[in-house]
Amino acid sequence: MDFFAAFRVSASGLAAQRERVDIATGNLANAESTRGPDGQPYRRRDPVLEAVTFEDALAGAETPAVRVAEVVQDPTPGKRVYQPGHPDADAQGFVTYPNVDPVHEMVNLMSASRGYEANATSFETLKAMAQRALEIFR
Amino acid sequence: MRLFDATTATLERALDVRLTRQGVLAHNVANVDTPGFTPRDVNVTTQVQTAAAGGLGLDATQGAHLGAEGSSGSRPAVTTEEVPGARRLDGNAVDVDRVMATLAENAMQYSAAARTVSRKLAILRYVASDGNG
Repeated sequence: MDFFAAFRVSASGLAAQRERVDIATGNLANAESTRGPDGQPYRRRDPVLEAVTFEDALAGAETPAVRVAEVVQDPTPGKRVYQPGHPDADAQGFVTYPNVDPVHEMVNLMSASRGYEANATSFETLKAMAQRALEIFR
Repeated sequence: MRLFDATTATLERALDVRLTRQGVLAHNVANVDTPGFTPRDVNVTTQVQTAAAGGLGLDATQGAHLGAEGSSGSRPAVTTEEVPGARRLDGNAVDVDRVMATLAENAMQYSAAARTVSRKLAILRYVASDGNG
């Protein structure tokens, strides 16, 4: 293993956690979007993280340690609110809101942010080690 | 006594093993939220000892090749092992606190080994410059 491969491992962790933050933020931003491009209310999204085995990560220089394999839509139904005056209300006067739970998204956000910090720390530690290795020549 | 003796070779192996271990630990941290992930680690003691027990030596592919004691011609690959541990509901078994602590410890050990190599080389430099280095 060389230093740059180890750097890439941490970098892929950073990227995956940042994507989690992006998705949670997108969900929060659309917590009240009652119509999307398809005319349907927004559905919350969830990233699916996938691990690459350590041996594979070592073998391929470009292989990340972890990656977002796909982003899935949460199929749970959204809450229905009686708002007859709303343009998106159905025949009974109910508006379907997105299935976004702000508390759930905030927890995801916190967890992703901590995960990002952990990866950043591991990167810093690696950098310090690389620095130390260079100082052998001093 | 040779200039580059077994100590230097062992230190070199230790640096190699420590760096791989740091990569394995970074891999664990990167997968801290991956469902079903099992963390891995490197057993430093056995990995350094396997090398010291004869894994290090110049490859003699022809009869005229000289062997050199304690040199690192063919370096054995560092092997990793799974760490058993309690799994979360999503099947992930990474204990992030322990991994971060090991990460810090491993980096310190790496620094120590690197510093020792530095000192070793400083001694050689001193000798090579007739005590004026």
